[in-house]
Amino acid sequence: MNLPKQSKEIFEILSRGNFLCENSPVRSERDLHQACEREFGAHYDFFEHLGFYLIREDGYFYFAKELSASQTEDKLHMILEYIDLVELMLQFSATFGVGFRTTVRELADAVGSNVVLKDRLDRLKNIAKPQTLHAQCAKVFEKFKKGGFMALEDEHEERYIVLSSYHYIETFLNAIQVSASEGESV
Amino acid sequence: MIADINRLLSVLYSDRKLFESLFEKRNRLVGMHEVSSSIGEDKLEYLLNAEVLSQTDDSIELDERVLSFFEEFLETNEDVEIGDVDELLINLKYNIELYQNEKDNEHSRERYLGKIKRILKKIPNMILKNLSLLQLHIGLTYKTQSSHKNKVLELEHYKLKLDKLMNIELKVQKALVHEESFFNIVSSHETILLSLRLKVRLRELRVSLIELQKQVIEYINKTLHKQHFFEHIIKLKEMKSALEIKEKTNLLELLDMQTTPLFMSKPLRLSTFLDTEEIYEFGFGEMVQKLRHIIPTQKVSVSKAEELDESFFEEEEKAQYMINTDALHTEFLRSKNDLFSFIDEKKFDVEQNLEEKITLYCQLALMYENEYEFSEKRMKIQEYEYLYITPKDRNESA
Repeated sequence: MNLPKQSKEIFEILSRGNFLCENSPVRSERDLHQACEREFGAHYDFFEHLGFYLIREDGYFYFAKELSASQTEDKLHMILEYIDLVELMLQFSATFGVGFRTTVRELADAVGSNVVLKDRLDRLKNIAKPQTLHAQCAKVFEKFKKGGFMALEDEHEERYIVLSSYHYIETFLNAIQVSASEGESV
Repeated sequence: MIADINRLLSVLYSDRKLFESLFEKRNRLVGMHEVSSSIGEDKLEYLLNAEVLSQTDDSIELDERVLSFFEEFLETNEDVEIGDVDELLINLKYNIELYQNEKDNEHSRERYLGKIKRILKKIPNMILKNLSLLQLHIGLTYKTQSSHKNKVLELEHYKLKLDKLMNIELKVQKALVHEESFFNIVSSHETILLSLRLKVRLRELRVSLIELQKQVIEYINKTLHKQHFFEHIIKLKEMKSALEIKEKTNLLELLDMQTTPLFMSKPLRLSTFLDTEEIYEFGFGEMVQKLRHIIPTQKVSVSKAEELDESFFEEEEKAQYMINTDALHTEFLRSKNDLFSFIDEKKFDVEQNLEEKITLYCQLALMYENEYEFSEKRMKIQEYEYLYITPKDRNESA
């Protein structure tokens, strides 16, 4: 097996439950993504021995895991939460998607002048209402960042970029199908 | 109606302020009174008659010919006009035919040739202009149009124009091949050069056109995809709010079917009493990482109490003498004495002093009050006075 020297770092990132994205603002992570891409087969075999399933998607890698019953419940809650978050972001900008860049301030400004957005933001679960609107918006980004779907690109401007891993959410949500009987009435 | 250029120019010049403002406002309605108040009604009437202005309902605008001349010359026309190129092509063919038919009159031939040259120069410029306009519009629409539906509509519209433009480019090439015989016989060096240049130019344009076509198709697909996704999310959100999402979709099956990233199966939970939402929302781990370097890691000295004496840990037996009042009571019932005398005479395992005996006396008297007979008789021991108490039955039996 011929593994590049970066394998250790790749493992460290992925095993912590992170994604490895092609468009990460961190240069070293982009390099790791490339290294992983070059030796995908070898990495897959190697990590499989350790009990981790390396998944390659369009522009990102992650370790997959089989779910126990209680974890399925956790995942369900997470997906439901992301429906709200993604909807909020799409209401904010129709172009929201991989590669989308925005700042906390932009979201705060948009929310300030749009009642619909304000309402959506206030209704978000698990986001307690902080002192300022800005802090409230910042939490939305923190959520995405925690999930590994966004990264802070510029700390000073508080500018975030949507990572390729957001594809996962997009694909998942797209795969949700309304059952046939319901589909007709909607 | 103005028939000569001199007159037209002087009319345009004398009211240049008006024409300038009308040109700037060409994309909106300008009221009749607005114009008449600035130049007077007579003048307005005159300009309308001269057909440099036109009137629709109550608004005034530049005559279409004047407007398109301005727009074309200043290259401010934002519409893509493909038909013009087509027109040029027809003119080209027509003039070539005229040139070929005219065999005797050298002067006329020169004139036709002049026109042909003009057209040959114009064609690539027009294609280029349309191409760059399309490119601008497509990019702008894709990036700025916020409504998905209109975005797709506009992009489709530009795609159609682009297709037409490509078609025309093809036509021009064909025409050039078709009229090859003309270019072979024509003596003018300049014309041949122009036609060759046009060919090269067309090839360049073709590359850009194909590139743009690819781009617009990609944009349309992306937008359609996004639009679909947006609608989908809104639908999901509605169902979620109505708490129907689990019932009406395949979400639950998907949870098992789709691969799950590690983090989703292993949410970061901290098992401490500080485990509020705040903590794992705000990248607690990172916060700790950051703070770790700021806060000095020296150990906090806890003030300790002195060591405990060894003796505390030694086991020490301690027997306490307890009098079984119940047994004492039964014994008393069987005795022939009064209560206090019984207690006084009783031999306890541990010697009881008078005070203790009195306490015992009181205890028994209170506890078994119902079974004792309290007489009026008072007895004395030392300085204390006590009641003569006997068991009830004995009295009855006696």
